[in-house]
Amino acid sequence: MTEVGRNGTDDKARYALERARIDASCRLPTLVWICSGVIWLLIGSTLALFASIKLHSPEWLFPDVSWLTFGRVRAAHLSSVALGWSFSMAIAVSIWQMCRLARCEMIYPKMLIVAAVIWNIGMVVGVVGILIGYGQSVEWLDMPPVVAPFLVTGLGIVAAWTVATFRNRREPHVYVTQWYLLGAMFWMPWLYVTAVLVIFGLDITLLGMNLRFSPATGVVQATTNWWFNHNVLGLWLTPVGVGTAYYLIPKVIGRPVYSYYLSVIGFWALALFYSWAGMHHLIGGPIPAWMASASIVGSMMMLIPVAAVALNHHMTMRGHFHHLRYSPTLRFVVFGAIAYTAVSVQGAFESLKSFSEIAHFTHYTVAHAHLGVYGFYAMIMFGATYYIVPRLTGREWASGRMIRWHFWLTAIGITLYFVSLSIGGWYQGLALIDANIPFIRIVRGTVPYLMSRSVAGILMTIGHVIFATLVVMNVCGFGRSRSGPTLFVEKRVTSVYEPAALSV
Amino acid sequence: MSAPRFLGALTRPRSKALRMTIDDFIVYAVLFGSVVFFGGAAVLALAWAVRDGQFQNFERSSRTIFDPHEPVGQLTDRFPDIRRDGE
Repeated sequence: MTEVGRNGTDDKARYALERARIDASCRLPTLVWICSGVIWLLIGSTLALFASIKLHSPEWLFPDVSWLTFGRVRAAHLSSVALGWSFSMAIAVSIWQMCRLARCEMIYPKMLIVAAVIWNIGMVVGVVGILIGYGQSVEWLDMPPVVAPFLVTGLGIVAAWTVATFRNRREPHVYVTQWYLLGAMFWMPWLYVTAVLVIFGLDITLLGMNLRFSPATGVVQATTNWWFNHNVLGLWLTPVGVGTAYYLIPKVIGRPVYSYYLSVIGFWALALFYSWAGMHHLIGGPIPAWMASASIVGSMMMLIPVAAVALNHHMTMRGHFHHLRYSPTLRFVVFGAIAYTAVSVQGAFESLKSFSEIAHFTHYTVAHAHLGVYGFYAMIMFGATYYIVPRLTGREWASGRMIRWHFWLTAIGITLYFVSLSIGGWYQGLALIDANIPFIRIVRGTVPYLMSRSVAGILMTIGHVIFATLVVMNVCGFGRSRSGPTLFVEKRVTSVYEPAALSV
Repeated sequence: MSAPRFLGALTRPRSKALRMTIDDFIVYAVLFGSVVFFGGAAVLALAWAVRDGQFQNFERSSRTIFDPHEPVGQLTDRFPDIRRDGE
């Protein structure tokens, strides 16, 4: 072997070993958070089915059991999937990517496991609390306020760990994904603490001193609520989802991001404009006119980062779309990236007053929210899981066919969900502004669309069961063992990828 | 809840329209304090990034996720039942 060849081999081995060590150090905390997310996904999906079916068939299954009524089950579903599944996955994916991008082994892994335990104690108390009647009538903050200390502590530990890892990094350059993840970890604790303090107030006794102030009331409470809700999507789920796509798409296809410049512009534009957008949910409500107008401007300005991200992802994938056939990760992540563009453009125009006049307070908004949180965010998290878990466990996924079923069930499910509720919601909105149409007729008119939603929910839930089965099988040792540091394609792929050599 | 003495000037009712309770004050403090703190943090982060050269040489930046073992041009993910070598 020549000197150059030997150095090249040494370099490859060194980097492979480094990555293997990083993955090994992340194994337990990342898997704990992923398993936590998967469990909450299954719980949330079951609750979602209950809620969906009860909306068109209220007499179905234990109509007299109070804790299974629509109001409670729907709030429990929201908390399970929003705070259980989405947050757990955000943390799992973030901690793994932070270590990978910082090129350092995980520090304080036990801290992250403790955070997961604290977080899940809070979640169990919160979801059970909602079901037994202690829920709050505050959207996205439905759980009893007693869980707030658990969630703040869990999130605080993860945020502190992120800062410590960033300071410990060996890679001096901050890749765009890290910007997004750092932003998310910085924004979310602030959002949550501020919203809880302003909406629920505070009443604690610490070292003999009573610290208490009353919650804000009226308009301030409502505006804080929607500032929080919308920013959970925009300043937590969006940065984690978009940041993950910025890592996985180039990494999977082996091509640098089309325009790094645009990716940086996208991040800072998101940071600048997104937090203005939440008030568009209160258009038509008793909020100051300037507040609604500022929010509409912020919502429309969001077209800048969205265009930057959409253009970048599309141009990065250009000429590589055939890889969707081969890569499970890419299939989910690209679906999520397309949904991100769609939901963001839709959201910007949905904020306009003339649009809100019809679509507001209808099922149209529900469809929009699910396109964002599920079509965009959850799909990217599925893709990330398919990429990360084999590298942590050293085992291949047990069945490619099951992954394909998972993809098609969830992709068709969310598409059916979005289309049916968007059409139903629009007709509902048109009918609601017509004073000549009796309200009960409008309610009856939505039933076919709600039934379509239940069918879509069943498809997605079956997909989730398949996904959970795959994760459990992988973690429990089913599936071929991998050798070599990358654990996934090491033995089969030479240094230059040759698509023509693949056989399906 | 009564206001501490040093907050008296702020919380003393001057007229009905301008009355501010201690609770109102805390809400405003939380809101404006967090805006200043986090807005300031964003500005500091941006200034640090510029000073540190994070926005120079975008071509190199975009390639930091690749290395000699997983270089540009290599696909790093595929379905488990897809074989390159017909295995």
